[in-house]
Amino acid sequence: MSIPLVKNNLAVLRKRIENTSTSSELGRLEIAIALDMLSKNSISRAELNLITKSRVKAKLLKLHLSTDIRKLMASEAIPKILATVDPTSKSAGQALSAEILSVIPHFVASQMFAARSVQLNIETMWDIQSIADNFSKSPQQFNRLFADWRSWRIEADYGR
Amino acid sequence: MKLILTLIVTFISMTSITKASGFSDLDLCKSNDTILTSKFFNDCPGAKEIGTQIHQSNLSVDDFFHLLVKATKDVSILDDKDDLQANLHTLLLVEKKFKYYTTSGDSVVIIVEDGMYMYEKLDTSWRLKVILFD
Repeated sequence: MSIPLVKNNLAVLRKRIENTSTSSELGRLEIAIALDMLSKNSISRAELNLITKSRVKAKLLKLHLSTDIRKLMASEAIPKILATVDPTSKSAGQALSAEILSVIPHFVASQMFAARSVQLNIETMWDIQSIADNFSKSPQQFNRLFADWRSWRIEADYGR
Repeated sequence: MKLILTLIVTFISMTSITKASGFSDLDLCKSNDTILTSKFFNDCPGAKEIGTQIHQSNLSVDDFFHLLVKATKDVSILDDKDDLQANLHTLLLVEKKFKYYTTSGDSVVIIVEDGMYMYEKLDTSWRLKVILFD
């Protein structure tokens, strides 16, 4: 596993969030989708639609998401995740989860970490192997993961 | 622009006065909702919607303001391990240009193209308020 690759993917994601304009509804939808992917618990359909309608909500949440990715990148959590001897061990996963939570209490890239498919899988969100796998993808694969999640969430909830 | 600045200074002064009495203007908003850790207040006196977030940091108002002044010239001085500094770092990159910033009492206020960010020092943390202009 490569620390630079993981950090690069996080940096790409952060840049993408920072460059998203909250002036348009589509931009606000992008923020809502990113929030959905990166938060510990999925946001509800009502919340997703509230964010797309409010510039204040989208702007503040964009700031929060980007700040948390910045804090995660500055912390020691990533090298520790990648250095975990037995990444599939439940205890190792719980210890690392606690550490990440101490850095970013509410926005942990949990669902995306666990998103091997577009299915929401809360049970595996602290699966360390998934964290390593997903953030060690090539930038193209990583973008594809984001696009898949976006399509699924829009189809399921946007405007409903 | 002059009118906006006058209104802002008045707003800041009122905030300082009301905080001293334990009163918050947010209490006057008609409703609020929460998304994760962010709280949003609706139909407030003077603002349609106010977004708020709490950031942990031991920085004093003086320290934060001096950091802000320096960071507008060089963002690399900010320590991303500190919640408040990481937030300011992001704000500088997202907003690109601050039109005006000042400090008064326990607050640091930043005016940007389409709104205002107010950082209020609480006991052991900071509250960020976001208000956008129509």
